[in-house]
Amino acid sequence: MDKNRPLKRILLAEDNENDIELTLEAFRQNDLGNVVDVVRDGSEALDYLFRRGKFTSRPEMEPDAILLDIKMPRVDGLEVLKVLKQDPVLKVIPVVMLTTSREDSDLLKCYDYGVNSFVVKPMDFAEFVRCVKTMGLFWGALNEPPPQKKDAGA
Amino acid sequence: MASTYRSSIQRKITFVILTASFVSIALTCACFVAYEFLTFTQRMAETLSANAQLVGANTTAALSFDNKRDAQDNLRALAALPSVRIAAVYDKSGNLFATYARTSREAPIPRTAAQDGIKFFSDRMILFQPIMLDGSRIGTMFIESGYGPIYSRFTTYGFIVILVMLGSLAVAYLFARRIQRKISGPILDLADTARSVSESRNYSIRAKVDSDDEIGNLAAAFNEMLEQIHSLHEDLEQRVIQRTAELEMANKELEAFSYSVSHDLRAPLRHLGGFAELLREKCNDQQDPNIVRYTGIISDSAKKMAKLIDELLEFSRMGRSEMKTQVVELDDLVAEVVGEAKSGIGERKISWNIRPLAKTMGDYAMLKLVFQNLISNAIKYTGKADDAAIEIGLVPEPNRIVCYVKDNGAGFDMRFIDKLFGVFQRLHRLDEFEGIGIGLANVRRIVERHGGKVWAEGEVGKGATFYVSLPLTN
Repeated sequence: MDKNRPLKRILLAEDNENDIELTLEAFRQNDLGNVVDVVRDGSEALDYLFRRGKFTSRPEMEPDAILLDIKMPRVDGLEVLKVLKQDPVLKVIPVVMLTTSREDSDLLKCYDYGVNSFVVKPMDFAEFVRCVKTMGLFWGALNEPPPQKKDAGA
Repeated sequence: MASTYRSSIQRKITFVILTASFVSIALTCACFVAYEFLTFTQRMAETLSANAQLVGANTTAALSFDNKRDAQDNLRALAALPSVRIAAVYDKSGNLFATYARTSREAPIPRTAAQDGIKFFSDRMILFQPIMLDGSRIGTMFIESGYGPIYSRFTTYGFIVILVMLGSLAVAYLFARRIQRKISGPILDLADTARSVSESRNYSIRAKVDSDDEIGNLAAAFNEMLEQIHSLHEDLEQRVIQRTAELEMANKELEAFSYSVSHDLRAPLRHLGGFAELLREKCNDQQDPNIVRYTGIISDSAKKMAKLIDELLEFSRMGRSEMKTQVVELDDLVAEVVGEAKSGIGERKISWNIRPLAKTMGDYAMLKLVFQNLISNAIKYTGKADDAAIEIGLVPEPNRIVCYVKDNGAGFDMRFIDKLFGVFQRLHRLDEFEGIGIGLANVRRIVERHGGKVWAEGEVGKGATFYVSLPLTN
């Protein structure tokens, strides 16, 4: 088993520039040298995933994980998650909700739609860096990805 | 219950009708009997007088010739009248001349003639009547008669009267039943309507109004009252629905507000902290130590503000979230809280005195928060006391449970008691004791949601006692 297999490609859906910068910085500090594709709202995320609009010709490989913010303009993270988990092909991609606050109603909906993980961003930046590291280790090394994806990736 | 109610008013009306009938029949009969008695007595007296006249006339010869034997024979003719008991003839000077007695046991015959006329006694009547011959008095006739004929006649009358009374009462009873139905029927209808309204709480039922007398008016007034209750009831229900909708709306708005607060206020704070951190890392090699200090203050302040927001949201949630009410053993709950608290105080020595508590009804998690706040306050404010002591117990009260948490710590000035349970109100400076001032506000909100009260006593430097009243288990 490839224990040190890094996450090759991650999709980050986040509308706030500051958050994008901090998240990318946290990735950098953890030497998670992956490709992070950033989309700025839910509708862009769906375009990306379904290869529509400006993402029609994006690379074959699907992301290893999707980090979804909940509160985004136009189409929010919950809607993206719902559509994604209903798609026969895309539903196997692990989705991590990466959000600012912990609301019971959000948690219930996310798990109802079939989210793989729900992470509340810590207030403290150092903690956030540790948090990103843990996520990278878990989804990149510890967790076994679904076989189809592996085949597709190979 | 319905049947006694029913029979009561019907019986009362029947009773009134029967009593009135009885009294009027009885009075009529009494008058009739009295009249009959008087006329009959009169007739009897007349008959007696006529007989006396007759016998007297027959005796004139015997008196004139002093023939006592003839007189005696004449008197014996009175045997034909069964009511005559004794009779006598007196001579001119009033001396006894001849006598007659029906039986040997009769009363004695007066020895001399008394004054003329008829006298009535309770058991007999007596008659003295002159015996005349050619316009001059030659003697006196005496007859005493019993009331035998009257008795027998009035016995018959009595029977007739009783029969008549019974008959008329029976007829009156039949009428009374008919008539009372006319009166009691509408009243009973009204009573039935009132009962079914109060039982079914259906205010659209109406009483029958089929007369324009007082009962009809009563039924109409009753219906009008029902109409008013009905409309008030509907109005009230409408208002409850409206108010509930408004409350739900307000609650939803509040929820949306707190959701947005928790999202939109925290994110910039996180950015503030994050970039301050990055800035500090970048400036680590700079000479000015203030740069590190300032960035530290920025990120600490951001964290502190985030904590305030969290606490405030928690406080708002505590007021809205649904209560899961159950029986709560306060002994277990307090033991749990104290156990957790003890493990968090490290080396500090506190003498705990936990007395037996009671059961109450409430939400376990919320009540736990109450005691967590009170006990952690007690621990916090005894932090500077030499021999910290915390006591938890019960104030005996009949209708509720009153718990207290008492400490010998910093205490507070009773002048500021009003601020004690307010949100973000503090009675100590931050450099004295840590805290943001929401714990006791939460305690009050939770206890009030349980229908209880919180209050406190304290003295600066001597300690504080916090009281919490909670409902009894039912």
